[in-house]
Amino acid sequence: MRFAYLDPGTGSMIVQVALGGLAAVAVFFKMFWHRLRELVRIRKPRPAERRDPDTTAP
Amino acid sequence: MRIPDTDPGTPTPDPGSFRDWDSRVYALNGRVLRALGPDGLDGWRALAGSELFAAAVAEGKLVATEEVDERLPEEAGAAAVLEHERIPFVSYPYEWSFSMLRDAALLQLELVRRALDEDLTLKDASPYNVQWRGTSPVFIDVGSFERLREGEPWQGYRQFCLLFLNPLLLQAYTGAPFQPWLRGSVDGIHPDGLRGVLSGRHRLRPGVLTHVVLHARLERRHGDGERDVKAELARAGFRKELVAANVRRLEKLVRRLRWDPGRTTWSDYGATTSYSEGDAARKEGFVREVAARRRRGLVWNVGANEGRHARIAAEHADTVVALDADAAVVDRLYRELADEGATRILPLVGDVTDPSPGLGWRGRERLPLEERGRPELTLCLALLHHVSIAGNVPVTAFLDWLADLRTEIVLELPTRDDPRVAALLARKRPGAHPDYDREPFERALAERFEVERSLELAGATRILYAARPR
Repeated sequence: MRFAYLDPGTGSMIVQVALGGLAAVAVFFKMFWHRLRELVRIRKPRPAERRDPDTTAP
Repeated sequence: MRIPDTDPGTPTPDPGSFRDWDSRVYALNGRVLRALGPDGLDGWRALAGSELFAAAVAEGKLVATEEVDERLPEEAGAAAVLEHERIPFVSYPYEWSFSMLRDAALLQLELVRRALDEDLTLKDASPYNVQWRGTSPVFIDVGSFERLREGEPWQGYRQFCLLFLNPLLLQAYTGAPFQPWLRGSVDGIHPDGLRGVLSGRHRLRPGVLTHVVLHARLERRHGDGERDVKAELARAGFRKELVAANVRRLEKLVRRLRWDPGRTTWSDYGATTSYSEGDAARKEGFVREVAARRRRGLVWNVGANEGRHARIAAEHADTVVALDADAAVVDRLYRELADEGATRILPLVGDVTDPSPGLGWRGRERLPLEERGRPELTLCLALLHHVSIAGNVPVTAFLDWLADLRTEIVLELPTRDDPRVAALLARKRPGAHPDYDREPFERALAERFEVERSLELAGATRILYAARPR
């Protein structure tokens, strides 16, 4: 994968989902569904994914 | 995209083109070259083969570019070299009026939208990549184009907000000028900074809640960048259609933004000038006579106001930079010229007593005004009293500045008896500005310039001089 010289900004990427209106609703829910599954450990996170310390399961 | 006055004979890296390793600009004997790295070459090949490239160049929206067989220094790491058409005079967004930045933003968005149709995108979104042929914006950074990577949001969105959208929102919604902020920050206006300025009632205006408030909050929350959001988005099915929809929304938002300057000091100056019709015509004739002596490359009109004399100069010059400190006047001139389809006058916002300095990395990324092209002729009409009395710049210092430019000049001296000068002097202590008088002025002028012609107007309360540097 090639990387841009410019940091696209994590927050800025998420805004683009929020902007997307109806078309982006599916993406939005899918993204958070993945996060939720990660949270309750239905599925082990892929090794490439770094976990946010906040989302560690109790 | 700027070229030093003296040609070094060897390729010189452009001091403003270093951020993108894959695409860097060099100057060589007045030519503009671009070194492409391997990824840059891939992006160029994709662009060169697209319908967008041919169409946008033909429409004048994209700088004419071709691949050339030219060797650049080893450190350029060039997989290929491009040559660009030269832009007559490089300017920066903090020198543009509201409508100019808005039109540049619409060009940027149009190119992204059209690129997406051919599975291309632009990796950044900077107004420094837009320059002007007269009043037509031209996108100059061919190196911005790359192949679209499916599943990714637009990489340039954040920069678009910082350098295009936020400055426009600031001025459209609060009336505060964006130019000082952009001049103070090469990166632009951050969402967090703008959020602090936009109060409760502004937050209901289109675009503010999402692009500013939400954007600022998410930036703060995700500032640590721990998550790989890009991969998460791709997995969740983010796709090109969403990028295209966002770009269309941005276009709609930007197109609706308006700035109402109200009545500024100079925005109705032309209509209320103290000149009689006959004197105004004689002044124009004087300017026309000097301008028509020979064809010139670059003319500056400092204090251009409504652009009457810039238009005369443009009849006999390739490019006229029409500079005025009043952004409302410049905005109106820009819109008039754009409607007329004028191609040789570039209106810019600038105060000659506080001109654009060198900015960015080592103060060389954005160059001072004087280093971007030396004028062959400079018009300073109804200007000296503002510079010298209102601005407190000594008359000799102003003439030194003009002499250093090695430019021919047409300069107007409104004497102390002129009503406008008298009004300015009335606010100062009695006897202030003794250097501002016909006799010391003419002496100082003759020391630095060879005066070729002069003309008294309005009962000798205004005198025009045409002079060449000694």
